[in-house]
Amino acid sequence: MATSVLARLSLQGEVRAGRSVQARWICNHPMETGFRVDDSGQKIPRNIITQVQCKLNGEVILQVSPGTGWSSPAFLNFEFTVPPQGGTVSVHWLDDRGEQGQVQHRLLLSS
Amino acid sequence: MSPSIPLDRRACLTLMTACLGGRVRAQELVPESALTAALRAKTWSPQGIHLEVPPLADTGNAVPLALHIEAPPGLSIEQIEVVLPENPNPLALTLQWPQARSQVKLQTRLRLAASQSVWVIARYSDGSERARSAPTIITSTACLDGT
Repeated sequence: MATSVLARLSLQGEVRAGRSVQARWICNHPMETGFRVDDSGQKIPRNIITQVQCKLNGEVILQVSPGTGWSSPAFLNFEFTVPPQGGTVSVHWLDDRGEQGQVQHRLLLSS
Repeated sequence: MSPSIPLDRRACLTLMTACLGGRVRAQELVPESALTAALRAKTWSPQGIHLEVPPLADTGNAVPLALHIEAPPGLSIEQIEVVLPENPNPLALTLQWPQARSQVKLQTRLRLAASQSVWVIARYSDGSERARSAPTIITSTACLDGT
């Protein structure tokens, strides 16, 4: 499903085999809590990110299940160790409406 | 008829505090949720858990949280829960590391409904739990009640 929610993933630190790097993910999801009402007094239905998976070369390294207490834009800064062969780090998300998205970043090893 | 007791704010607070048997300090007059009390009653060790939240945040919309957790020797971190006891939905985040990790570093942002202690509860591979909390004061709530 196409989504208008933009997300971005960037890396901090030197990408070297065996080194630890920080991945910073930010996603401008509205994270609608379901507690708010619109101008006509109607309750705005809840629409939050319910699942985030951070993957390294296709393998899940971190799984996040957020509640309504997560900020909008959603922000996550996590750490992982660069594998010797390099590869790809990616973050996948899924929300209450069934919308989903993914961003990925290639690990270009600096030697 | 002049009142026999002083009626300024400070005197009233002192009087109310005195009526409660001196157990409650003036700054704790806001009622806390049952969950806050339940969490405080637990006897978790805070060892190996470092968390950073601002002592005073302008709004509750995006309060930064920095975590650094080290597992006890020989154990790995299985799950971390971030609990905001005064929020309408207290469980803010559940984090799981499928691969065994002896230490994790993480930063994120939370939404707070009221001034409260942010609780981080870590569960290790042998099922044991440790937790630490840090208080934060917010001046305006993340608009959660629709007003």
